[in-house]
Amino acid sequence: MAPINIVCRSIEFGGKVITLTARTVQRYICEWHLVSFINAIFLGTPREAIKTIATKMDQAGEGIDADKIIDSIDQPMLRTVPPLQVFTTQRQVAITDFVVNNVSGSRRFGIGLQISENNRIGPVTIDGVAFQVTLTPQHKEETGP
Amino acid sequence: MTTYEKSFGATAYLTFNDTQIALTAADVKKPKFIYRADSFYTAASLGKLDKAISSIAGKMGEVIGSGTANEISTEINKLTEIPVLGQVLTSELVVTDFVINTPEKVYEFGLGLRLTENNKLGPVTLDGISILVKVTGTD
Repeated sequence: MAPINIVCRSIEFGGKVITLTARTVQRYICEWHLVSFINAIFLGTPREAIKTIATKMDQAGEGIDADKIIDSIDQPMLRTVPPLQVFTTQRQVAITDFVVNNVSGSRRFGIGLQISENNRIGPVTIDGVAFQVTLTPQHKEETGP
Repeated sequence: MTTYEKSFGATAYLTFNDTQIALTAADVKKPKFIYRADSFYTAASLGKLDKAISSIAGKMGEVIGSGTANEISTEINKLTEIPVLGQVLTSELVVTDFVINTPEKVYEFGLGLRLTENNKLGPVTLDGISILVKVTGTD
C-alpha cells in the first residue's frame, strides 16, 4: 500500500496551493515536498523566493534575512556541493520543501530548480538541486528577577 | 521573542523515466545525500536488470562499469540460501535506494521489487526485496 497522509493545512503561493500532510493523526510533523519540477511553483530569484516563503512562516519567518542566507553559500560549501552555485545567480527557483515540526517547533523550507550544467556531485550527474534552510528555536534559560 | 538558529541542507534530484527522486543531505557542510523509497508503489521504475543498470550508469558515470549487471547476476546466483533474490534477475525493478557520500567517496544504489509469489525467506513471507550495490572510490 502507498503511504497514508493526513492533511494538516494548505498554504498559497502566487495563486497556487501546497498542502502540508502528516503521517500520523497527531500531526507531529506537517510537511510538503516537491514531487516534480514539472508542476513546481516558481517564486522568482532565490532572494525573492526566500522573502516570499518567509512571509508564510509566522514568527519563525520574521528573522529570515534572504541576503544573509544566500551569502552563506560560500566557497567551502560550493567545493562540497558545486551545483549550489546556481543559487548565487538570478535564476528562477521554485519552492521545494515546507516542513513544520510541531514537537520541536522547528521549520524548514527549500528552494530549487532543474539544472543541466555544473550538475555533478562527485561522479554523479544530477537533474536538479535544492537548498534547504532549517530554523530551530533557541530556548533561553530564565535568569531570575 | 523566540530566536531561531539556522542550519543548511541540500537535495539532489535524479529523474528516472519521468519519476523524480530526492536525495537529501541534512548538513550541506558534510553532505551525505540519501534516498530511501517510501513505497514500491511510488518508486521510480527502471525495467529489468540490464536496463536498470544502464539507467543508473547514466547518472553514476564511471562509477558503474559495463559489467555491473553480470557481476550482480553472478553474486546472486552464488547466494543459494536466499533463493528469493533470484527474482531480481528476472523482474521489473524499481529504485529503492541511492546514496551520494562524496566526503567518504561512497556511492550506493538499490534495486528491488514487490513480491507476491515465491516470497519465502526461511519461514518468513516477504513483501518485497532489494539488492544494494555499494561502490567505494579510491584516490
